[in-house]
Amino acid sequence: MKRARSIALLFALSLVIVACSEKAPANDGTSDGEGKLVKVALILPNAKDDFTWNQQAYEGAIAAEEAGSFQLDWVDNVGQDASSFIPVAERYAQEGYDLIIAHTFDYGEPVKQLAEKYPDVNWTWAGSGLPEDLMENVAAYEQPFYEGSFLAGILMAGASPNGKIGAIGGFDIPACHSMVEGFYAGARLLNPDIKFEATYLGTWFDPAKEKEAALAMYDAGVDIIGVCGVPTGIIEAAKEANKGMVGYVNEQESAAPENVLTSVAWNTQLTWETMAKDVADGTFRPGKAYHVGLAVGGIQVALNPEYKDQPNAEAMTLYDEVLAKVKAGEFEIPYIPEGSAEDVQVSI
Amino acid sequence: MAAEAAPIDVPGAVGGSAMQRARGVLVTLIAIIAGLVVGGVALAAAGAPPLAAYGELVRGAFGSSFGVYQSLEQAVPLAIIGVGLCVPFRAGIWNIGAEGQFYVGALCGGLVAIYLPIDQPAILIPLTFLAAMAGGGAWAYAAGWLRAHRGVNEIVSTLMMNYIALFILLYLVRIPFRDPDNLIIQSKVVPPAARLNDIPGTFVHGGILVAVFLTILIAWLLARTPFGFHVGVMGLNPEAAEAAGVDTKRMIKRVMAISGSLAGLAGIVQVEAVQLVVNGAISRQFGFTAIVVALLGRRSPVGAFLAACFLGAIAVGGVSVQQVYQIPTAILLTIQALFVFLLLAAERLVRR
Amino acid sequence: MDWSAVFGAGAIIPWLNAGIRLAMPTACAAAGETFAERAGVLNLGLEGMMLGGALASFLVSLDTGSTWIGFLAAPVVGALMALAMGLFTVKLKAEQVVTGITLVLLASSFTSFLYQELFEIQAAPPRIDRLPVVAIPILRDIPVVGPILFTQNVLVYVTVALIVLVWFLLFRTRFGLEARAVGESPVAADSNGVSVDRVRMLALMISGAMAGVGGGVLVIAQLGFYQDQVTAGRGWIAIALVYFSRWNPIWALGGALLFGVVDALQLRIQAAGGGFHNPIPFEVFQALPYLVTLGVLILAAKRQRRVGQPAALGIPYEKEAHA
Repeated sequence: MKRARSIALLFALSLVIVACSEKAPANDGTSDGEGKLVKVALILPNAKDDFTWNQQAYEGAIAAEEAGSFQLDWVDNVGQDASSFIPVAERYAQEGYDLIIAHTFDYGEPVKQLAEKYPDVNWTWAGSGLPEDLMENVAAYEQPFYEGSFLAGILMAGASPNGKIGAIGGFDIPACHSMVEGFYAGARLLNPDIKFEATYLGTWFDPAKEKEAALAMYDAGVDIIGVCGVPTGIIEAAKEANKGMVGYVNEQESAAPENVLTSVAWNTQLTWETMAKDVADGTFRPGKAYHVGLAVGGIQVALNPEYKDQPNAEAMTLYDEVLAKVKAGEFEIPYIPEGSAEDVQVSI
Repeated sequence: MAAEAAPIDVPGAVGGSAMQRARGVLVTLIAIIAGLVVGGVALAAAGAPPLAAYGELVRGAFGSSFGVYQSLEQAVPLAIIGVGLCVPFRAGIWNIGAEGQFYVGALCGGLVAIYLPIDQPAILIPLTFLAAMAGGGAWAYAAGWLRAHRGVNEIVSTLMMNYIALFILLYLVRIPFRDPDNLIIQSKVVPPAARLNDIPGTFVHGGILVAVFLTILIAWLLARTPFGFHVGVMGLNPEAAEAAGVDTKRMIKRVMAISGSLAGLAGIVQVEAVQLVVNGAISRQFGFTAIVVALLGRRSPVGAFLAACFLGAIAVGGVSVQQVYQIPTAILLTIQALFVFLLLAAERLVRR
Repeated sequence: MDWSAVFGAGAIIPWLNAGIRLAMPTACAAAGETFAERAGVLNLGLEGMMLGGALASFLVSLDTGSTWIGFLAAPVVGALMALAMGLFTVKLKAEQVVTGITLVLLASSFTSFLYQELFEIQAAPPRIDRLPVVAIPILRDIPVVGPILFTQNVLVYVTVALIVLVWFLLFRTRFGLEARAVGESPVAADSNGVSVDRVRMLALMISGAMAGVGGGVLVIAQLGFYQDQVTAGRGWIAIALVYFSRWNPIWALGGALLFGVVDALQLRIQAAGGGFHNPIPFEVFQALPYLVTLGVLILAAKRQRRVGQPAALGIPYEKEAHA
């Protein structure tokens, strides 16, 4: 068969190439010595310039590396499925990385398998809700967006002329569900009669559809839309309809200063540094999950002064109160991974 | 849509004089070298020294037993689905729905694996395989039925059914069959009794044996049975096949069912060997890439198996190159696609 | 849930408008594809050509500062990609299916790479000014129909005109006749002096150009920016719609509109309360466009036999074999 012959030729040729080429320089990074830096590998499922989830992880990691917190290796566009993740992660494990960050919830199962195989490597992944018998070298870092969305919800309720807000999520995963319901819960705290709609798109990467979903909401009377997913299309819709939205993970105010009320910004640099420091100190994973949230500055929600409808004074007071109490440990923002915020009693 | 004229490689047929064959080899070599050069330019543009990068590609894929095992594991889903696709493709039926059939199979097999209270792998695993094959086969059969009895073109129906299958899967793992202890949207973990572990003494899972077995089985089916003969005749000329007494309607349904069941089997193999849960991320467009695999293999099961191994090796080698030279994944994928193109060109040039 | 927010008088117009917007990119690609398939070429590379057109029109708009010039880049790039594909499938007689799929893989990774190389990481994608919505005077005041059909982005009118042009080319010109002949019986066409290869190459380039236009419309008329994989599978839907349309560009437009309108509907249903808090799982709504398309296909196929598919579709024509 000609094609088999072609393939055989290709193999033969490649052997010739291997014989002729020099071995690649070994990528071993810093050797142990003074100032031994933790070797961190960051594995991103999609493009590092996706404006939100992957990008924020990447930028935080680069910032941490430049600040000298650890030594970094990263790879993006790995793919969401386990069989794409495993070869990549296993290579890092074999090369003696100290901490491997698997940046999506779908990597959970393969991480657990690999952690058993490589007990000397520390693994952490973007998970939530962990089994009791999680092994010692695996931790999860939660994405406490719901804390930020709660605060944002207060602002949204205070800035909504119609008393109607909404949220658009990519998939109904716990991080998004809790975030979506978080907007609602926070808004209800300020205004118990607030009206709220939620849409799930079934995709992360279709800006045209996001835009249409947002326009559909604005047409239905929604004033401000919170987002759990890539928001580029929604920003466009907000500009077009001259309404509002809340940025996701990254600060998106610069894209549309008058239409972005605030962003639920995720300080990934702090999150990565917290975990890397524990690895360096030998105290990795004091509990199963890292919750680097609002109280410590892991999540930041800052009102955009240029937004077209500033929230009323009542909202600002409540916002300040909630934030202060969270930081002081006196108030815990509810985590609603299932069901509706309507079924949760919140009082401050 | 009728199959292409004369697409099937008749085993054993070798054409042309020695001079022509030598010319063919030379042209293929030139095309491959051209591909390597273009790829090399791309690599250099991305900041990696081409020769060393290629070396790393091959070393990553074959230079260690680890690499070989990884390459084989990458090849498994592509091989199983690709081998299955040879059957309808040879009959001129374009099953574009392998992705959806994969999902349905993974779902059916996965649910059996998780909820059937049986402890012995020797009983449980085959049952999950049967469930997966039944699910994937039925999903494909439906499209085949629509084509045979209602004239609905299978390209559209299977394409639409891909999406529908995915949404069904997403719903089922989000609500009815969600793992109650885990907030993430996925099913419960597949119990140890249903897992396809590594073959003792190696680091490659049992799925590779399934793939090899199926390759031989389907190759035998196509080359040595009346059914296989009828499939080929249908592909060459459906009207002549009808006239010669082949029940094309039944054949259409059968070839779809066969390829659907193999795609479903690939689904459960992935779930039991690699993924260990059922969720929305069990496939990286395997059903789709397998179409390329089947056609690269010229619709012959052995060819498809080899093509799957080829793609698997490139994937693993690519990971190596990327980590050593820190080049963007996008450029690697581009080079992979470029290689496939050049393989096609080489093969066509040789035929002339 | 509030159904009047979906079907009420005030809601129908925005809904149908959204449906048209969602439909146009796919409609362009589908209409162009009917031409190629009528000539016997199965162009599965549509998704790649749409991406190429999208990126090209974005880059040229950004670079020249003129969105119209940028828009012109879209069909050019699409046609060039089709030319490359034609070299393989028409000249080298390679298999059309695998060439098309590989082209999509190549295009999607290459556009990814190119975009990453050209633009650094930033908070939001660089933007271009979208072409404006144009309300056609007089016509726009027709009740109901006016605000929907005659108050659209200027590119919508342009692309509808292009689709009509494709239809005209296919059914009212000599070239279209040749193309259809080549698709039905290349041997007969050849013996009548028609250059099968040339016609197929041109037909393929028409489908490439239209696919590129679809990508351009998406970026320039609707979004105002480009993002990796922005076409999100529309090229594949377009291919399905060609079969749905019985290889008629106008019906391809109709099929695309059906799909787009149902897609817009499900988004509006979710927004009006059919979303998360509704007992009906939202996956049902997400699946709606595909279910409806499949359903219509089955019903339509019942009425007629498998008619209309060009006899020589997908078969490379080898002149020597028939000499």
